[in-house]
Amino acid sequence: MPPSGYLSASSIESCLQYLSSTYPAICQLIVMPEQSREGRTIRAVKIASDGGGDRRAVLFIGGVHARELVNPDALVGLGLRLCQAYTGSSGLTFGGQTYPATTIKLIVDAMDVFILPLVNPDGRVYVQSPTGDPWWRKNRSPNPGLPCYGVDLNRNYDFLWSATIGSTSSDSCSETFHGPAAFSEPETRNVRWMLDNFPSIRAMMDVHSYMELVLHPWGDDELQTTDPGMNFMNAAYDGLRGNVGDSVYREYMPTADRDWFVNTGNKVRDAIAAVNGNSYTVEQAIYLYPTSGTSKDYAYSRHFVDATKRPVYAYTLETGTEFQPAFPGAADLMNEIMSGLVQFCLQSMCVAEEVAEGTELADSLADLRAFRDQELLASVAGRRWVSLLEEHTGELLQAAAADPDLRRHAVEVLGRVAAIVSSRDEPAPRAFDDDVIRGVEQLAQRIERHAGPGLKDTLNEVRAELGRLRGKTVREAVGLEGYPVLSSPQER
Amino acid sequence: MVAWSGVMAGSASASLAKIAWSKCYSTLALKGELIGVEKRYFVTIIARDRESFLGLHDYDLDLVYGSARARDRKQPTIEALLTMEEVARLVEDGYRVMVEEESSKRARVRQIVGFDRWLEEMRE
Repeated sequence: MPPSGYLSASSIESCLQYLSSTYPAICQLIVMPEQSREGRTIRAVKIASDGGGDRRAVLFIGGVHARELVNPDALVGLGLRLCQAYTGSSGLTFGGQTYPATTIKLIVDAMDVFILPLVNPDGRVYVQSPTGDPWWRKNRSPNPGLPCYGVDLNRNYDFLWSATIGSTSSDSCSETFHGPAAFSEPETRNVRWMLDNFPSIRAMMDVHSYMELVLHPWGDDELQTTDPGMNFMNAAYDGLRGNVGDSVYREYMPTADRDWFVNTGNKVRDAIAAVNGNSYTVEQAIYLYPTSGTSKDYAYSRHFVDATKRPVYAYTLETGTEFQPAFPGAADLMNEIMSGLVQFCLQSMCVAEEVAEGTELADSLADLRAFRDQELLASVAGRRWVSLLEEHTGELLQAAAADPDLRRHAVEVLGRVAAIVSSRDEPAPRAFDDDVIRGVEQLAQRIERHAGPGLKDTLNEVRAELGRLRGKTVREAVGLEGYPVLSSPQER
Repeated sequence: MVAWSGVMAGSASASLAKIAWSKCYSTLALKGELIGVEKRYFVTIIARDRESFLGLHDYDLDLVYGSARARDRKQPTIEALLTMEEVARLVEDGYRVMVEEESSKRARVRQIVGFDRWLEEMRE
């Protein structure tokens, strides 16, 4: 039986307490450093076997806008479902989408899943109070010295905060008031703390409502991939941002990141559609309405500001078609959300890291990563290979988790490729020989047994290219002529 | 359920706008609805062009940004939660506004379930 109503703010809190006390081996309660404006303690949970560690992590946040009721419920529901499935060695089914037990085990064993379901508890209390406003959006800051209550938390982050682009307002009475200063609000400082305190967080989804959208950066302007100097930190462009269709300013994003955002967004969209058939749209946020100070732009921008930080691939998910869907429809929507977020976990993992986990190959990963970032992504052919792999991350990982022989075979092939890569600076670097080509071919055949139509097409594409690699060093392979021009993944 | 829907035809002419406003008011009165400045409605705003669409921000309205449909559209649209006073102001300024539903009909803030029951339901 699906849930029959929405949880109160205190019930969401109870749920987090329940998860950590019922599943202590895999669920850890995290108390945020700051209470809400009205003094409520805010908590998150980390779901990870063995307490986790410095491994890839995802962060899900919800309840930022008070009136968007369904998302905190879906997030604590996801926490419960993950804990139940992992401890019961079972899979998860959301409508027409099933994730087998091996996939759930893979996620909980290999990732840290952080869930901060209710960023703005004061707002939810106010919305659900008989004397409150059902359509309150902001937090409940009294804004001393200003005429109106509340700050729009999703305009309060330190990303072009002072620019008040597009839908962002400096009027305290506005629904999109960005606050008296960037991070003026304890609720947004808590999200920043999560990102600061858990640097293994590599991907984030801020779950909002509504309109069935998967939104990726940037929100301040259209993106471009050719001029790194044209970016949000460059004061020469102040006042020129936020205009769609002009060529005066476009926000920089590396091509590989753009491809990742689109590939992953498409996979999340497909995982949602598989539940009830609802088709979400994957889009760059600017095409809705220009914004500044939002969570996803801030989270993704951090590594540009501070090169010691790793990128956080952050999205906004706009769920459903209304703020407060009625039950039982709201329960169906919760299934959509949970399915999309499980897929997001899978897409946020790294195939090579997970396959190599616990093997001798793990020692080669740093070199493989350096080669990917410094050389592979710098070439058209290399980006194409990376993009193809990332597009199917979730499916490949699920196949490897379900088929131990496939995983062993993948480790073996990856080991041979790693040896070729690591010889690239030697006087006589090793080349792709028949053994390696044959190994990849056999691996592709094995993967095909588990593959859906999209992955099968990709495997055929890979096979067609294999012959060209024979006798080539890895740098020659990456620079091969005759590859089709890299096409960007499409936001369909 | 849609309590009342109609298009308040946008026009630069203030007199036309007043007619539209009056018509809207009458229709709602016939339905027995109370119109107060605080009562809000879910509406769809249709802008003439992208410039007037972006200009909506200057009205300081409660816009549902996720619903914005501006890309590749001659007449961008966006949903909003507005009072009739705000609707009238937009219509006066040349926007078309389709009133979808009085907001209380979409409020489910009283559909609350206790944690214990929620947990039981999630277990079943």
